Amino acid sequence: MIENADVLSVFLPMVMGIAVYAAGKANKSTEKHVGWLSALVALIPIILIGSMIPDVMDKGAIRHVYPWIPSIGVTFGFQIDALSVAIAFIIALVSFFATVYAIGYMEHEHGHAGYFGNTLLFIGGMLGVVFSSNLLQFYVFWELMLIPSYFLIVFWGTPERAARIGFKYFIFTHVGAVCLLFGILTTFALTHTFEISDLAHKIGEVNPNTAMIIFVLMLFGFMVKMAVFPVHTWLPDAHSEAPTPISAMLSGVMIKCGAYAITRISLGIFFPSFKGVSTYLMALAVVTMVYGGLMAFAQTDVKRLFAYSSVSQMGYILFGLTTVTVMGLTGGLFHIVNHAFCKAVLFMSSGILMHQTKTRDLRQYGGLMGKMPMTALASVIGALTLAGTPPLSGFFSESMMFAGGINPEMGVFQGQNLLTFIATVSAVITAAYYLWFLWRVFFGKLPDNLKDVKEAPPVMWVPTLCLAIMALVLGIYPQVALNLVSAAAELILGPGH
Amino acid sequence: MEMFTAPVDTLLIFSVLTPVIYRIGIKIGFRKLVDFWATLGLVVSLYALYPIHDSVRAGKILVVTVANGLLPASSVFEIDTLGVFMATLFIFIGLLTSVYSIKYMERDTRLAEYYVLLLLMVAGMLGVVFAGDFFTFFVFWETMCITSYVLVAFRNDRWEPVEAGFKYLIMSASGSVMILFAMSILYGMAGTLNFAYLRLVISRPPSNGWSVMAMALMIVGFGIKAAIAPLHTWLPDAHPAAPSSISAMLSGVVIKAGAYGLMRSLMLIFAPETYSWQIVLAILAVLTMTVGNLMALTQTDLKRLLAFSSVAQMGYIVFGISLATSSGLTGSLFHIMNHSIMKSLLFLCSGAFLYAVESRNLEELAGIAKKMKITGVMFTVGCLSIAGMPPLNGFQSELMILVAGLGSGSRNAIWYVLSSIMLLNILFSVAYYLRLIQTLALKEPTKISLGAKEAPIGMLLPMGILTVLCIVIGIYPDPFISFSSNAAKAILDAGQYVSAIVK
Repeated sequence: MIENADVLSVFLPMVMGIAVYAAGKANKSTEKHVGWLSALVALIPIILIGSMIPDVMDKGAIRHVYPWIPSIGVTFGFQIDALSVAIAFIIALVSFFATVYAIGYMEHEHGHAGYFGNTLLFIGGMLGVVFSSNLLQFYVFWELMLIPSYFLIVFWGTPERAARIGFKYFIFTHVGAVCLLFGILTTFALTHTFEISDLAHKIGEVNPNTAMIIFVLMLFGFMVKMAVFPVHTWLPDAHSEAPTPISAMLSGVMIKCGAYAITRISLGIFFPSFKGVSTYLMALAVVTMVYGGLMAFAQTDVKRLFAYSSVSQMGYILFGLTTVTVMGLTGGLFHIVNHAFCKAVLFMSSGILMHQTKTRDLRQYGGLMGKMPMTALASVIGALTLAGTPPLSGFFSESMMFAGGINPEMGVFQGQNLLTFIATVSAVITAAYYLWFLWRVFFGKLPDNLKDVKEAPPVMWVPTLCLAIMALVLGIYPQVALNLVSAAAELILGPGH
Repeated sequence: MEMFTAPVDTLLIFSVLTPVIYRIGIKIGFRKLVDFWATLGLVVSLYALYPIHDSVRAGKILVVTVANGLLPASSVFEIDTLGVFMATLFIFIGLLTSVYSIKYMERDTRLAEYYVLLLLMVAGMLGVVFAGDFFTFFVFWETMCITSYVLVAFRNDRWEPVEAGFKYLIMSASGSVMILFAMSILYGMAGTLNFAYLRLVISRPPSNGWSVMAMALMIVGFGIKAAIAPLHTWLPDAHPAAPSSISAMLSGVVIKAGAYGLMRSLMLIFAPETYSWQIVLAILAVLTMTVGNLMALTQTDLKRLLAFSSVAQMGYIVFGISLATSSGLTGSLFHIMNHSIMKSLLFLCSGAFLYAVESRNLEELAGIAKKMKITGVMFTVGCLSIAGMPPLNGFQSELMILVAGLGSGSRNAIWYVLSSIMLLNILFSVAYYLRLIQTLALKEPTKISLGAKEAPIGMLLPMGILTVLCIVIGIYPDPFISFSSNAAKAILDAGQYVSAIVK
């Protein structure tokens, strides 16, 4: 591991974010180059976090703790283990490619300094959430991730609607965050510690009913971020009206922080409470899955389709977590990785479509395969992966989740087995709307008004295709990621489950 | 020779000489001389506070008797860490306000009066937090109150400030009367007005009807100054009507003098062990924050909105006091510090908008942050901070109060309920701060706000210092929390406070 890789990966993007903003504001001619500079900064966390992987696989968990507010006993620490490194690595990868993509996307937009400065702050915030070793610090970064993303939506989103939708995004997420804060503070009042590693034992001393209340409050906070039905309504608005590279980051990785938090905190700390309600949560996951899928079917706006698809996919991931088996959890975490790549690819492709054709209405597309071969290729890989087509990686993660959901001690149509059955069937919906999307956009007859459409500039299609190829590689050779995520699942559940 | 301790003396001397300096400034054709004179006065006063801070560090207490009188009858200053804590804030915010006024007040006449009043108001507040007996306390309390009435009504060519100032005078004067009445009851019971002796007599159980009445009167009297609902109604009129620099003083620090009065009298004289006022005060606090936040939501006048937000924030502070625990008081004092910084910042920013376009109407101000980018960014930081967004300073102190509140839950479950109401309030308040940011920074600029120009450097400087403090305290709160917790220790250690006087 590179010296201080954890500290640098969180704070370097943040400090550079402010520096980039200042540099861009100071001088008009530097403002043109802040995009490339930011992309360079966004590359560094990939290297830093990548260097952690061998250590984590060899030595297991590493913690670095520094004093922060000694007068009330609050520390500032980094938890480096298979779970945090896996998620952080995905965040860094997707963010980097989204930042490169944004250079092309932002070409004709205003305020580059602010855009890229906020993007870097956003990246730092997400990485901070994942690496936090105590709940207070976790909360600080959780909100720190909200503020830059809010500004990105309201300043660079769809002009007429951005302010209203940004407000909705902020308030929804903040309601969740305040529930989370209440849970964190009550935990502290009862156990006198914020440290995640200590809490797993100490929570056992708390009255189970109180623990359940805290668990529900915190879980609510995470589920809002993760956009689980019925608190998902902010997502289709926010993700479809945000500037496209940010949609890719929001849908690709930010909502995964919710899934990460459920794994780390709800499952890792409040295991008995989680186990107690896991069947209900699984039902919620299945509802989210089916609802998101049906809504995606009904969309005519390309970005809204992907946004609803994200809701549905978050249902899959929650399903994987609620199986509470190593197999299911590994599948869920692996699906986080797959969905991160593929949804980023799809949003970035939709951005290219909008950028090149100036429309986002699905009904006006058609036959673009010949006109934009690279974008089409990337979209096909992304859509087929999420549709669960073998041998792409989505197939593996989904089959692992569903396999984990089966409880051999129960009857075929009882409890979680029934839910697993419905979930498997709902995968058909997912496959259907993705295939229909591909058909409507890239195949069929080319409308007359799109005769002159050209492929996007390389700065946009190259990062998109790179992510798609990574997804493809994961499908052919899933072991790269599976080693890490199965280690993470065992870390949380213990090898016995 | 020092009379009322060096920082107070400095301010008094500077304020007496201000009219002379004003004349000299006009004679030599340098009108701004008086502005710099007042700023210098506050700098010197801050400098004079430093040795006092040094000598009370490590929990010592400094006693200064006025004119070598005999205790317990004479007038006395008794300075502990709490006094120094509050005094530092008062002078610091006063200093920034005074720097701000150099540019902000240049369109006004009668600057000699303005600075005399400003310096006297700060001197009054210092006297209040240094006082060791109710007599001294009351003299300085009234100095503070009377100067602030006049400052609210300073721009007397319009009707609004005069009316607001009058309302403020009537309400605040009735508050003073309550305090005076309570003092007379205490004097009748104990034969002294000295805090230390009162502590020995009044705090001893059992409480009787007279002392409970005195306590109730004190709560109402200080409650009016601290804008506790339902006694807050003067504040939303008075604070917006004053010149913005004075609004920053009033909302930033003057109302904190009321919180100080509550803290000192309730913790020291009406000891919670004997009088158990905690729950009553907490219910008032929760009422205050709820009323403040609900009313702020409906405002269309920027400064009025900020004034209601001050009411809500005082609710948080009083809630911390009502816990009467070390962590509660620390949180409360820390929030006093943070709120003075945030609220002064917001009022100074609103003053900058006012200076640029002469409007405080939110509809007219829409989009102004696009024309005044630096002020806009600072205002946004202030809003996020006061909305309790981490890692800014407001978050840290609201968090401490909440942790303290939930910590008391194990003694009595009602604290869980009250703390969750506070949490809901914080959540709720985010809505209007966010609306404020959206209106000022996102909407298309109106005709009025299109004409705005960035504020001059003299106004940006104090605002910038406050903005930086918001961020620094948020990221590295430790030294500030230590200062607050030392001040909280000073309140809780009543034995030492008494032993400094009663040998």
